Amino acid sequence: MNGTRFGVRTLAPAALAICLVLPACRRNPGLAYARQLERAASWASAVVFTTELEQQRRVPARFADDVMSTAAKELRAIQSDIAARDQVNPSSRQQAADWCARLDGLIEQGLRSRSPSSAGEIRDLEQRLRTAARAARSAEAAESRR
Amino acid sequence: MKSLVKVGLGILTSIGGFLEAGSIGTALQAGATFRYGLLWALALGTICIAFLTEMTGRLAAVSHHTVIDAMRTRFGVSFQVWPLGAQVIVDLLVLASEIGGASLALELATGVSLRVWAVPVTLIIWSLLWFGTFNAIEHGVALLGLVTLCFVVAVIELGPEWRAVAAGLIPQRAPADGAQYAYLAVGILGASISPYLVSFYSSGAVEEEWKTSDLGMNRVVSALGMGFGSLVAISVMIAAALVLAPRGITADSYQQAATVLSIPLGRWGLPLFCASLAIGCLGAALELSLDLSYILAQSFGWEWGENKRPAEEARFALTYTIALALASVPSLAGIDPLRLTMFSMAITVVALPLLVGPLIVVMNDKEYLKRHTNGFITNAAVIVIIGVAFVLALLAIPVQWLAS
Repeated sequence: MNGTRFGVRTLAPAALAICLVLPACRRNPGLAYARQLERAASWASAVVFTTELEQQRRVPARFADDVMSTAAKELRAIQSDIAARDQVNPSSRQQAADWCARLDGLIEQGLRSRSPSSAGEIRDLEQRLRTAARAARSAEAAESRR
Repeated sequence: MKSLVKVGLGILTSIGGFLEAGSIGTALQAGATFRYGLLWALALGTICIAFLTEMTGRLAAVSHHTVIDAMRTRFGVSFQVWPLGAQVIVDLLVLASEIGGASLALELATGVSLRVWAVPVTLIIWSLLWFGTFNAIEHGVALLGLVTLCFVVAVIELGPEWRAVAAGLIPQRAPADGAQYAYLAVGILGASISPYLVSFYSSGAVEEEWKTSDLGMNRVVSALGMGFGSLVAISVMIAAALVLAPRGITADSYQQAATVLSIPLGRWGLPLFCASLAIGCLGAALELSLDLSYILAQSFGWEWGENKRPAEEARFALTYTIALALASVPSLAGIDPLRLTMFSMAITVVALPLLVGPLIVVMNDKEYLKRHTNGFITNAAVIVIIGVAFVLALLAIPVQWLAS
């Protein structure tokens, strides 16, 4: 009996607090979009860094391949997620999805040919994704101020 | 001399056993995303866990009760159901994260999928529990865990700007992505203030038959062991801040983060990272499996003790066997261990008041502690830290989940 009373006393305020907090948390499409762009950029950077480490014989080729294949898989997932974000401006989301597709292609190509020649292009795409992410964050901040 | 050896061994095992999936994962992401900006959360969590372990060691030494045992006799079984249920859920989630972390470390080292490694890893943990003794498990794996000191060596090699590091120990205004900052702070606190460490520590103290004369050793081991242990976690965060953050690598997965030691330690970096992750997770998985058996056995009054043979305490052995089987499912399903870890740490913080609140009541009860009850500072420190963590979790978790 005491236990049940304790449970009600403990859980009721917690449930009340959650009910008060949840409505304050509106979905934030701009922030979520920016995070996806940053995730894609992070994978691009990880691929270039791992390839450099492999060339310096600091990590084995097997590990570099694992990172590249995981990155390609993740970028495909990010690409479809970005393409499905209806609340984001269609032209910018199409462009971001294209960058992800291009990154995926370059990484797959690198995996097949084992050549690091595409590092420059990957870096370029990474920078574009970061710029787009910063723009999305700024737009979101301006929106919240209004 | 004998007690000095005991203190030394206690501190060494605390250092070796400090790093596990939660502390590695949260420290890597925090360092890679906010550099030194979340060091304060790690410091706060360490202070709290040092107080909590000291308290439960004191309870065991003075009253010869474990935390769970004392809570059951103090509040009754109908009360015990709430904290017990919460701790079983939290322990199972964290155990799944540890099995995932160890399996992924083997994937990084061999290239063979973590799904393949999940079964052998689970079997190794089960075999060690079935055939090993408490001391062999506690000291053996934790001493192997000293490999995690490679992160400290890496930081010395990288040479951070110590003034900036020190500034990170003071809470600062949340940066642009406040929700992620708060969510990571919650994750760090959840990883540091692990409820299983508290109940495991007190069960171990009862198994080792601590007495009032061990109180001094308990205090030294809690403070220095946890303090030095957290230095290793701080080193993980600093290394991530110096190697991953400047490259814009946010450590969304262990694959991205595994290169964190490759700049300071060269070709040894990746094997040492894999060894640290695998041994840290293995040690924590052993402690978690045992903890699940301990808390259920102590709540229902079964025979318990890792020093007994499985035939003498069948329900105790059956509990960790079932727990391991259940916890291996997420890895077999291929769920990303780092995401599972972050989720588990957040849930841990939400459950903390339910687990720590009753302990504070017991620790102020003269029937159990006689003249060794808690002082004002201990009570205030633990209540404030747990309160802050809980409020932070209630605010950050919904925001983070809605934004991701």
